[in-house]
Amino acid sequence: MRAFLMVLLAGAPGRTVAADRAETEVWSQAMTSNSPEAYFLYLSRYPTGEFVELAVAALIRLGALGSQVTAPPPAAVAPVVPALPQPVEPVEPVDPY
Amino acid sequence: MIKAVSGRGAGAAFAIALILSACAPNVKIGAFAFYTPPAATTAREPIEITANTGRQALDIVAKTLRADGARITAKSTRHLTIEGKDTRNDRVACGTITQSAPEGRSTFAANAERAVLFDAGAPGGIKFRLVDVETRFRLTMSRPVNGVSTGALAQTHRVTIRTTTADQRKLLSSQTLTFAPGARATFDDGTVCVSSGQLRKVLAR
Repeated sequence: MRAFLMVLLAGAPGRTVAADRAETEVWSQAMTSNSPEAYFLYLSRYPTGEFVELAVAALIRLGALGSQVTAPPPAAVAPVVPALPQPVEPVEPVDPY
Repeated sequence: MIKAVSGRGAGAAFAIALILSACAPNVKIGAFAFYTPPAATTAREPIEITANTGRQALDIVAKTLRADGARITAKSTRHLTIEGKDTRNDRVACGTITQSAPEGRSTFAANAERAVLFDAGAPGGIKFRLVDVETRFRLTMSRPVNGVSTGALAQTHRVTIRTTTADQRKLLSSQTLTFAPGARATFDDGTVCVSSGQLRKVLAR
């Protein structure tokens, strides 16, 4: 019994595995939800976690980080049609008088 | 009966430990986090290597250090010295940070290589906190006496704490401090780092 308690208190490998599983679970939920709130939830619970970089990348992609300059969606941009070259007409000399 | 007394003693010790931990000086970092400095460094374990010759002792410690990720930069069998460096963050202890963000609470080691800090002043409300540690060491072994060689370890830690924006990794702050075991390095953000004694523990195993 004492040995069992010692293992529990010492933070045995089994506990680490359980912690990893919990983190993976929160990360999976964040990916499924794919919302800023879900990614912020992951970051607040696991600020040094394995998926921190991915969570921040997702927040950038969603435009949830303040300074991020988001490009307007392609549909909102009017297509730019390149101007066709105009046929050049021969210029006749003009008599100034 | 003895068991009952020891159980009560253990309970009292646990209660005292709880009270002491509650009294640990906490420093507020920003709006969402508290910082708890590291505990005082523990006693130094002696480095004793079982070997017939000084050269053999040197080879054993070199192998042990390499296996633990250290890089040996100089080795003298004449002077029985080894010099090297490693970049493991657990060579220092910098206390813990407890963060209570709106979405959840967490506690992590303040020497973590990379952590996300919630900061209302940062773009998007978060920023990165990055910690780099470089430890340089010099180990001098003695000629074995009765088959045991003892080691004298000197080391210096160089710790850099940086913060960057999360989105564009723009540098917000950076500070580097160098210190030896027994000293306490105090950073501008309140973080205190001490030698963890981990390198000595690796050799004293």
